[in-house]
Amino acid sequence: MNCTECIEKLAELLESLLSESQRQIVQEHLKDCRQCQAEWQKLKELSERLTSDSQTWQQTNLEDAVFNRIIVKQNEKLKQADRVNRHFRIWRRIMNSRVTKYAAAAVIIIAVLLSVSIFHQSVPTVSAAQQVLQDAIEAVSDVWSVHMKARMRTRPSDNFSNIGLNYDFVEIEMWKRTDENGVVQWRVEKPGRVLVMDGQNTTMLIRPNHGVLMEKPLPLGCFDSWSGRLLNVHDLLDNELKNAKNNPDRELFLRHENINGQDKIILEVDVAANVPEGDYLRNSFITNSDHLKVYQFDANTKLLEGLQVYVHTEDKDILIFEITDIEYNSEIENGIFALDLPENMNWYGQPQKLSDNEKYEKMTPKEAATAFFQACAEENWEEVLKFKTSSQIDERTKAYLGGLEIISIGEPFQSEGYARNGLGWFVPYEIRLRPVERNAQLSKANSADRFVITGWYDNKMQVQDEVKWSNEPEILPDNDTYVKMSPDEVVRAYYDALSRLDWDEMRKFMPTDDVEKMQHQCEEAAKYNIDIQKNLPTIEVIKTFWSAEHSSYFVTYREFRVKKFNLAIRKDNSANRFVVDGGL
Amino acid sequence: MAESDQYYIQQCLNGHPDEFRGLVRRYQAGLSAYLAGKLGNKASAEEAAQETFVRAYFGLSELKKRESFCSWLFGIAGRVAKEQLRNQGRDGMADAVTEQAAAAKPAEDYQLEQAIGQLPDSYRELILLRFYGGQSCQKIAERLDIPVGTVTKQLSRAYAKLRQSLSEEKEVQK
Repeated sequence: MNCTECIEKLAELLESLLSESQRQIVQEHLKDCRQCQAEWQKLKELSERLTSDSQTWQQTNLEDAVFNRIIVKQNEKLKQADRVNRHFRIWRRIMNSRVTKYAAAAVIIIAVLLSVSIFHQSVPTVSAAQQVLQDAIEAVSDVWSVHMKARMRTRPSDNFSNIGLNYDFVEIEMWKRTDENGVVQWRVEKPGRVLVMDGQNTTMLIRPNHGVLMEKPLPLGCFDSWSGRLLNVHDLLDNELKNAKNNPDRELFLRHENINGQDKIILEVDVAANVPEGDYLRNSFITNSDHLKVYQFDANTKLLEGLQVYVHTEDKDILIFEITDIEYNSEIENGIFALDLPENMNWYGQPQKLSDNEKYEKMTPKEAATAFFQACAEENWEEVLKFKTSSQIDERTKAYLGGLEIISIGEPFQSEGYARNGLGWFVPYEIRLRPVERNAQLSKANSADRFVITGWYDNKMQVQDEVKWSNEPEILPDNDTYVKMSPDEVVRAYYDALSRLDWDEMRKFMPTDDVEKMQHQCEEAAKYNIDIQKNLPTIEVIKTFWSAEHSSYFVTYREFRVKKFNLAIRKDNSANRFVVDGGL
Repeated sequence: MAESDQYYIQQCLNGHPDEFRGLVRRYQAGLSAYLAGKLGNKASAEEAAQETFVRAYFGLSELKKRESFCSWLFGIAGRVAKEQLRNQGRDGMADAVTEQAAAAKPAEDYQLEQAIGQLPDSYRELILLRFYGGQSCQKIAERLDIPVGTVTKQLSRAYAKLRQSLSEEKEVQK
C-alpha cells in the first residue's frame, strides 16, 4: 500500500467501514509512515472537533419556535387571503345569477388566474383550514357540558330541520351534559316542540299535547333535529374536517377578524344542496339548499364560538340559522333534562299490524290518500286512525277534517328530500272542508262612524279572536260610501277583499296590525307551496242580530274553505302500510 | 427520522403541516451551526435558523427539485444571514446585548462553522448530515441514493477542504 492509497482509505477507517483485512493493511502502513500517521491524527482531530461542535448544537430544539412563527405568519397570510376570499364571494354571487353567468365568465377566468397566483405563494388554504378544525376539535376534547342558544327561520312547532326563506326567526335553546359516569343527557327546545333525552328515554313533545316516547336513549339528530346535532361539537367539527380531507374541491375560506378587540378565526364552508334544483323540498331544509356555513373560532382558545348558515338564492344569501350564544362546561340544572307533560297526551307510535293489514299493504299511494280522506269525509275515525301514527284523533282534527268533500286526488310524486328508502310520497289533493258557522262582531262606535270588525266568535258565541283597535278607524277619503254599509255588507266586503288579497281594502274593516299579520301568513304559506287563492275561504251570510250583552251587532255566516296541498305519506314501517306524515 | 425529505415535503403539501417538524428536526442543528459560522453568535444563528425554516415552509410549494431540499434550505439560510448582517450594521446596540448573552453560554466553534459555511454545497450537505444530523454513512448513502464508497470519498474531500480553510484562517490570525 502506498501513501495515496492509504490516505484515500482514512475516511473509511474513521467510519469503521473497512473490512478486517483492509483495516490491518492500512494500520500496518500507518505504523511505518510518519507522514500518513500525521495525516490520520489531523483527520481524527477534525472529526472530534466536528463531533464536539455538533454536540453543542444537537441540544438545539427549534421545532416549537418555528411552528409558533409559522402560525403567526399564517395568520398574516390569512388576512391577505381574506381579500381574495371577498373576490370569491363576489364571483359566487355573479355565478349564482343566471343573467350574468355567461357574460361574466370571461372576467371570472381572469380573476381566478390572479387568485391562483396569490394562493400559490402561501401554503394552500385547505391545509390551514384543516389545522384550524383540528385545533378546534382538540379544544373541545374535555368539554362535558354545552348550552347553546340559536335562532332559525323555521316554524315554531315543526321539526328542528325545517326552514323557510321567508319565515320569521324562532328561538332555539339546547343543552347537553355528560356526567361523571359518562351518562349523556340532552334537551332541544323551541316554542312549539321539545326533545328531551334524560339518559334512558327519549321524548318528543309537540305542544300542546302530542308526543312520541322512545324507551331508549336516541342520539342527537333523531326526529329530524338538524340543530340538535350541533350540540355534538366534537363530531360536528370532526365531520367538517373529514369532509375537507375527502373533498379537496370543497370551497373553504379562512380569515381573521377582530371582534371587540379579540382575534377570531372565521371559517366558511360552502355546501351544495343534496337534492336537485326544482325538487319539491328544495330549500325546505338546510341540507336541501345550497348553503354557506360560517364558523367562528376564538384564535386563542380555539373554541367554536358561533355558526351562521346562509342559504344561497339567485340574487342574495339569506341568513337562515345562527348560534347566538355558546357556553361550555357550565352547570346545568337537573330539571332541564326532565319534561313536564300535560295529562291528556296524545302519543304517536309505530304503526302496528292490523287484523286486515293485507288490504292496506296493497294500497298504492293514491289509493291510500283517497281512503284516508274518504274516512274523514265519513267521520269514520277508527278507519282514519289506521292511517295515523297517533293513539287517537283529537277533537281539533275531527272538527277540521270531519265531513270534508274530496274534489280531486292528483298523481303522487316523490322528492329526494323525503325519500324514506323510496317509500315516501307526496299526493296532491284538493278537498272542500265542512262549512264552519261563525259570528263576526261589529261596532260603529268610532269617530269615522262606520262599521268595523271588533271580534270573531264561534257558533256557540265563544270568543275565538279578539280584535283590538289601538288606533281609531281613520276617516277615509270616500268615508261616506263605508258609512252607508250595513254590518253584513262589511263582512262580505272584508271576505271579498281577502279573496283578492287586497290588503289596503281589508284595512278599512280590520286593524292594520291584524291585516299585516294575515298578509305575512299568506306570504309564508305561499313559500310552502300552498296555493293561497285556492285556500282562501268564501262565505254565506245567515243573519245579522244585535246583542245587548255585547252592545254590538253580530253577523252569523258560514265559511267555506277549500284546501289544495300535498299529503305526505310514508310506508317505511314494519306494518308495511302507508301512514300520513304531514301536509294537512 | 427514516423518511426522506421528499416524503415530508409531499405530506406538508397534502395538508399535514405538522410533518414539517421532521425536516426541522433533521436540519436544525446543521442549519444553526452553519448560520453561527456566518453570524458569529449562537442567538443570532438560532434566530436566523427559525426564520429560514419559516420561509422554507411557506415556499415549499415552489420548490421544484424536492431532492435538493437541503441545498435549497441553505440557500435561503444564506440570504437570511446576509439580511441579518445588514441589519446588525444598522442596529449595533441590540447586537451587543445578544453577544453578551451568547458569551455566557459554552462557546461554539465559530471558526469551524465558518469553514463549513464556505464548503461547496454537496460537501457541506455531507458534513452537516454526518455530524450535525447524526447520520451514519450508510444512512446518507441510502438517502442520497449513492454508493457508500462515494459518500466516504466525498467526505474525505470535504475534510481536506475544511482543513485547508481552517489552516488558512490560522495563517490570517497569525
